[in-house]
Amino acid sequence: MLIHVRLAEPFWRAAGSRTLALELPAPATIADLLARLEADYPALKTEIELSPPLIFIGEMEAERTSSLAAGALVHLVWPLAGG
Amino acid sequence: MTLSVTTAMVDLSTGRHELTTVPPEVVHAYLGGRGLNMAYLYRALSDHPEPRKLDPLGPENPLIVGAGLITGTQAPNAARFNVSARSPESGILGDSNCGGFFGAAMRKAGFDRLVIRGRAEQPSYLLLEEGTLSLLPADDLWGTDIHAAQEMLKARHGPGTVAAVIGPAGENQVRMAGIFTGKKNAAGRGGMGAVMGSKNLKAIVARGGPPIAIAQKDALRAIRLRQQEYLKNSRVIQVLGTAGTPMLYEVSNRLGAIRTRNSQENHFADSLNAEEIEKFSDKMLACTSCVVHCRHRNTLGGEGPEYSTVGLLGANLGIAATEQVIALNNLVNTLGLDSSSTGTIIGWAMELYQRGLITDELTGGPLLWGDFERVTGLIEDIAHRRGFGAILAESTQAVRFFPLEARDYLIAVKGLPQSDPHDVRYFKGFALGIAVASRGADHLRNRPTLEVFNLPDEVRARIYGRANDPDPTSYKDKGLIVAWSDDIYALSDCLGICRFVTHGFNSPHLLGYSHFQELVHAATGLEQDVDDLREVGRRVIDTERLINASFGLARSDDTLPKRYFNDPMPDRKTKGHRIEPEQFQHMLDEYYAERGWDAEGRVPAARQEEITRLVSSLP
Repeated sequence: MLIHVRLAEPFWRAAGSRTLALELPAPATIADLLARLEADYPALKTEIELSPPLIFIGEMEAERTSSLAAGALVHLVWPLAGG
Repeated sequence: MTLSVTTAMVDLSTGRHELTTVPPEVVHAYLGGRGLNMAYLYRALSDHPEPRKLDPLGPENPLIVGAGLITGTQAPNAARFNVSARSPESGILGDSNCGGFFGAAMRKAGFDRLVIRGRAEQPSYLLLEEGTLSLLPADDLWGTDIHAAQEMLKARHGPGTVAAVIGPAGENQVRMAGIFTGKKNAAGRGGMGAVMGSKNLKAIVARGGPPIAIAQKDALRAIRLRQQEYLKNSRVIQVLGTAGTPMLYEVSNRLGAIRTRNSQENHFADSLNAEEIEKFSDKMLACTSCVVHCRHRNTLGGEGPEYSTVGLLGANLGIAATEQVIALNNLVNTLGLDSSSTGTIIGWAMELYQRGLITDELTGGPLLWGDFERVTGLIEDIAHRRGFGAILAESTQAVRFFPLEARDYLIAVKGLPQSDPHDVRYFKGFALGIAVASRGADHLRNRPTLEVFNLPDEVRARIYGRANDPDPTSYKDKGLIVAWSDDIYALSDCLGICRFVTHGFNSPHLLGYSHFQELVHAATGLEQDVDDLREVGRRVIDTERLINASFGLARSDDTLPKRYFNDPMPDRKTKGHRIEPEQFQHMLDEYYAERGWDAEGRVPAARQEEITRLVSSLP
């Protein structure tokens, strides 16, 4: 199934793109998606380890165990809240 | 080397000034920057028979411009200076912190601090040069904008000239006017530009002078290099240097915590994400001795925008076009307005119009969300006090022109519009922070930004000194983390160090007390241990509390906009969150206890005596 990924700062710089579209075998979870991203983009793996992201599926915050539906849009956002 | 901290006492009414030295005991107690400014402000209020009657725009209100203790020494990110006075916007403590190059230039010219009183007979500016101070006519500068004024002064005084100026907004005593240096660096908050305008003072110009004296040059160099390396390894520093603060917009927006249409909504367009702002940026700029380089130079002729401006002149006004938001950013900076207050006040007026509480009769025409042309005109009108703009130029005090119900929709605390675009109903520590911040609703005084990270309990305990509740939406232990943030941020403001490299602001891996201790010792020779430095921060917060008490503030003023108590956040992860009033009072109790204040939020008598004794030695 096709999953869309939106990478916020600083993750997109490690992947070289702000948006990605990935084919994952169904059923899949966020953990599966992260494993795939980390395999395809080693620099992104380092970035995620350095700066664990908040993950959203659409508008809902997700856990590593959250299931993905075909066509889902997943956001990886760096948790910062300064000013 | 004997440390000598100088203050020029300037009387614009007579044109006279006296150069004084701050007593060593007071330097130890307050260091410099915000701290010493507060000591001078409290001193001035102590002399006043009725501080509550001190007119913020009258000649007796002291305008205090003070550089940080180690500003300009090449210590990492030590560029800052503070401007303080009674705020004409809030009516309480006014204090604003600014970067750029002026703080270092002022110290190099031989002045650590100016206490400016009186009112010049004609438009004037102060020239600080090689240890001398002159009051010069500024008739030809009056009426110029921020950029033109600085260009004229540079042309007049030559290379190396750095000026802090006001624009038309300051000249017209708009209550949210700032003091600017460069194209965007601003002492923006609290209307310090209006105070300067009320004194007929267009600019303070610094130039020339020998290098700033350093106690241990080689040691400071070694410390600086080590700390710079440490900072450059921080991921947040690296990212701020490429994307700038606009990167925070997407985080808040995704959470559902971006103030939108005067906080009626909590998320907005992706067109204001950092990547869109970056398309209009051709360079990242820095302040004196900065390792971060967080400021965009934009291709529309200005600098910025920062996250706060993106949020408050964008989402808060319903304006989604990136280019338009950048244009508004440049406009407020050119005219000399605080973007945070301007965006908040216009958003407030738009909601009042939406609700029919104000009509065309007052506003002079429709005031609709997303109307870029109208907002552009309104900003011009605010700066020049024309039409409806003259009403909004009163900032929160414009409430007197509106129906009583208008208060319910004002996003401000203690008369100061909220500084940043983060809706604080979700993170309870953020809410407590803006409720108790000494200058009113502002995130830079005490925001416990680490709340957004899922830090392990043992790390949180190590940072804050004891175990604390990691749930950012609980009301427990928030007094502890806000008080902790208060203290360290106050200290970094005393030193002149930027918030972006201060421990606890966006990262637990920045400069903390032990780093500050070695910098202070090498730069100035002052022997202060970490506990002494912590105490400086605490003393500054106590002094600010006493200043506000002299204006009549009490526990009931430590509160939040009504909307934050009453209206649940409408969407996204934060949906349903609001501030529960009873729990809020418990947070306040805990915060006061952490600060050692009584249940009414009063500073203990012994501390008041100590502070009174210290400041009594000041002129």
